[in-house]
Amino acid sequence: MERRTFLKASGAGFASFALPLPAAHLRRAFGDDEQPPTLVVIYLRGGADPLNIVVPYSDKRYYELRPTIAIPPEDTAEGAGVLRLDGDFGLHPAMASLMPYWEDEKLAPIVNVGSPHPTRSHFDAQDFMEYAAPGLRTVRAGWLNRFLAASDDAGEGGDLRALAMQGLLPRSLRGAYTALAVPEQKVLGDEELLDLYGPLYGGAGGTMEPRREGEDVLIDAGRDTFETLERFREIVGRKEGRSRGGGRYPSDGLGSALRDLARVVRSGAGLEVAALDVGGWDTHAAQGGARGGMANRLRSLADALAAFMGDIGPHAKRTLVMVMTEFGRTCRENGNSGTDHGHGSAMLLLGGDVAGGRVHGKWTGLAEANLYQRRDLEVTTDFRDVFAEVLREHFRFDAPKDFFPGYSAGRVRKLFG
Amino acid sequence: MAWATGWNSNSSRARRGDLPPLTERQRVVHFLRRFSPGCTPELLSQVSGMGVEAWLDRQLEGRVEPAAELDRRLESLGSIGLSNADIFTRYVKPIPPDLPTEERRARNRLRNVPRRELRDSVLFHAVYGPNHLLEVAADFLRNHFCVAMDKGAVKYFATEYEREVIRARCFGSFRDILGASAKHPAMLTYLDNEVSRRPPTKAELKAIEMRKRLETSSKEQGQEASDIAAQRGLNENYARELLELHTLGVDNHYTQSDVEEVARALTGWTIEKGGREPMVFKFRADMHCGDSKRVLHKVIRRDWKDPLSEGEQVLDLLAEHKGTADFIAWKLCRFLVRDDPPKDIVKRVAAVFRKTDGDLGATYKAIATDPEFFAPEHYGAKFKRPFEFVVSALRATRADIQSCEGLHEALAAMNESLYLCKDPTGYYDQAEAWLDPGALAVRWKFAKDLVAGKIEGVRVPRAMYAGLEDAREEYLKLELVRRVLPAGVGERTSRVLSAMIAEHSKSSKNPRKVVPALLGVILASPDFQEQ
Repeated sequence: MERRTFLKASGAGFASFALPLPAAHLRRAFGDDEQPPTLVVIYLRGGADPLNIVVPYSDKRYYELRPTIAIPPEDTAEGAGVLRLDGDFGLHPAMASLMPYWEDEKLAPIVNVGSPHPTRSHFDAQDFMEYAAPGLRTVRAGWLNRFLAASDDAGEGGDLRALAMQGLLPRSLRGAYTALAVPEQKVLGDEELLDLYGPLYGGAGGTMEPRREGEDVLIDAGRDTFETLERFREIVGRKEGRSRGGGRYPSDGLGSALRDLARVVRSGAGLEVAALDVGGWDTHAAQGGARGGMANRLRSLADALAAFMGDIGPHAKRTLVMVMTEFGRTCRENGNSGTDHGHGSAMLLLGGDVAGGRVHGKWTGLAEANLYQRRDLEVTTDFRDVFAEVLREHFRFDAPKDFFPGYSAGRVRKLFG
Repeated sequence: MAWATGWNSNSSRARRGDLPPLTERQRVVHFLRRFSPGCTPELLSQVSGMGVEAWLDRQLEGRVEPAAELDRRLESLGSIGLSNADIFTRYVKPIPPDLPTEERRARNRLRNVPRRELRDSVLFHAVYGPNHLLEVAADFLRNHFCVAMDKGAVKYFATEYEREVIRARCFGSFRDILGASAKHPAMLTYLDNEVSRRPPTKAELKAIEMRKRLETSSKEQGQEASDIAAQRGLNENYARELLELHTLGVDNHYTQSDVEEVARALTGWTIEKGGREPMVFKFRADMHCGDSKRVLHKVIRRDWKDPLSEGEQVLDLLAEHKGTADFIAWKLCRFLVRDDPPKDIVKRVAAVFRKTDGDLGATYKAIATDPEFFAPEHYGAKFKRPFEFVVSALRATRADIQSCEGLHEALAAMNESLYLCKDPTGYYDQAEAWLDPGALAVRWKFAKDLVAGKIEGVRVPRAMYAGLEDAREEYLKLELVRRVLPAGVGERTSRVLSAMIAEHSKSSKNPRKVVPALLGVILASPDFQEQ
């Protein structure tokens, strides 16, 4: 008798999400010769400091508010100055490897972007953003997963449409649609594993027993593990994937994850959504300025992204990278040369058809009267405006009315050219 | 795949009428899978003999067998019995910039010793500890009152925290552990209450500015110093988590104003960092907001004589609040019964919590003796967290752990590193958080490596296979399952085991060689992932 009732698949699909779910036709078709587009979502966990990534160097207030951690407008003896984007904004100097993309109009920073919800709790803010449902705790399927489910016109079992380059899925990818959490190399490299234990979950010799209605979800998870890992191995083993790419990745976790991801993209196996978390952005103390802890992380991020974009070659024009975080940080530095949890933040869009080479979003400045609760950046672009536009322009997917619960479409930001 | 959403829906669940009641044996297995870190045949016969209640009482009273296995392993961990101050004295030597590289490395290594030993001790206790209930309770409370060692000095404070806050107070009153956690330097550091203070007054800011101006003869620098000082003030981090995570539950009975008022009441709760008794809790009146506070519709008056008592009153208020009883009861039932516990049992458990003034031991017992706990649909209804999976596998295989490094690596690969949870929520205990496609492969790898002796420092002893060398197919299978997984295996797993034995006997006369492989199959099976 199967007693694993806790895990019994209900077929309820979006039961607790409780929204009418759109049919697949919402996505307009791509031409026969077109690869489906790919979206790579990089989530900076901890609330990355927007003002030291997209630096408002022309604003005197910026330097008043940040006596020890500001990035100077020009190179000085003490350190590098901003990489100028325009007359007002500059990129952190550690991100030099992204400048060619800016000059090529393939990099679009967005300022004053964030959530309408006031929370300064990391986990609430992350949940709300990844479920794209600020303040709504009943929504338990990620926005990327909802997109995958709603646009699943090929039916499951075909291409590997979505994966996370880490052991557990970020919440944005959790939900009814099967996305693979790619385990560490040690596990991936053990070729006996699936043959040995696959049969326990209904798999044998590379095939699976037919799926049964209402089967135990634990068995289902094993089956998904089996199928997606087989598929993943097959893909990264392909000739196209194995061919040497051109990237010079940093030798850290992010570098190796993006290197693996590039192989999947190059293989042309139909990957549409990939997600990856990068930690260490909660800089309450000793944040550093042009140099220091945050600068090192930004360098790794920029170098890894530049290597990745170079590595995927011709796929770069169909691949969009989004870099986001849960909230911004206080405009004023605190007593410990760091910054505390704030509100409005910044995003970076890279690649694809993005309308790069200019800074997007309505900038509100740093005058105290214009700050949110007199301390943080205001939000003038709802992150859902960006999500909706990415789905529409990059995937040609018109999010139906309740796709983002409680949200009515905001201003179109013309983020894409 | 619909677990992520089908999970909380009541529509799909098998109805109680569909399942026969649990047998006597199943009741004990069920109880032990929840109230111990892993049901072994020895525990099963022990509890079957004396009954659930008597066994629980013995555990609660600490009447347990001596633990030579455990003590032997703890002996080598020199830091786990030390106070914060002693850890600092012995392990945290200053590293001046001009120190030779060799010596610098040595001092850095030394600094990491307490952190490593603490993590080892948690594993040793969970696997070899004689008080099984205490290990389960500690696991729950360690996550409920979560601190993480990657923040500041928490890595030096966590040793004492684990020993004196978590383990020592598992069976005590909720108010007691709440107060102990609130005052411990580990929590004060982790959630920043240590730096939370009354914002400076205008006069104080002026004084700071003047002092700096005199020092530097610069007006700008004076202003800057005063601007920086103006930033210092209330830190809501602990107050928010105290309400949201430790007592009432998110958005339950409180508002943002309560968060601020609680933070104000707790200003001055900080750490003594110098003097004769360093690294202990200290109340500093100069950091305290000295006026009345209004918390959860109650006024807490300024106490001139004993301002520390204002914070104590807040903790009293929270510990006695109906919302806290409901929240703790619900969370314990979610941990011990099922991911979406039935409302009725939560209500009864909350009532016991309130009636006993938050007696944690009585609360655990209320769950284990509630008829609802033994309802057949809860049998095997929990998906093991990585920690539960690893610990139960080590217990099931009677593993001999000489060093824990390989085990910590395995837990890291499964995203549940001890004392390194990324969020103050602690590690989630619902299947939803762990059952991603791909995640099971890491468990399969662990099972395979464990039985092959490929996890550094860990060995499955030969005794595990005693008497199975010459066993025939059916007996071999049944006996191995009996030893490893008293709950038994399902039909598909049984088939896989039989096939493996049959395959092996074709090529070899010696059944012994297949036994470890069979053990790996049991550990990797769906049957072993549930409890």
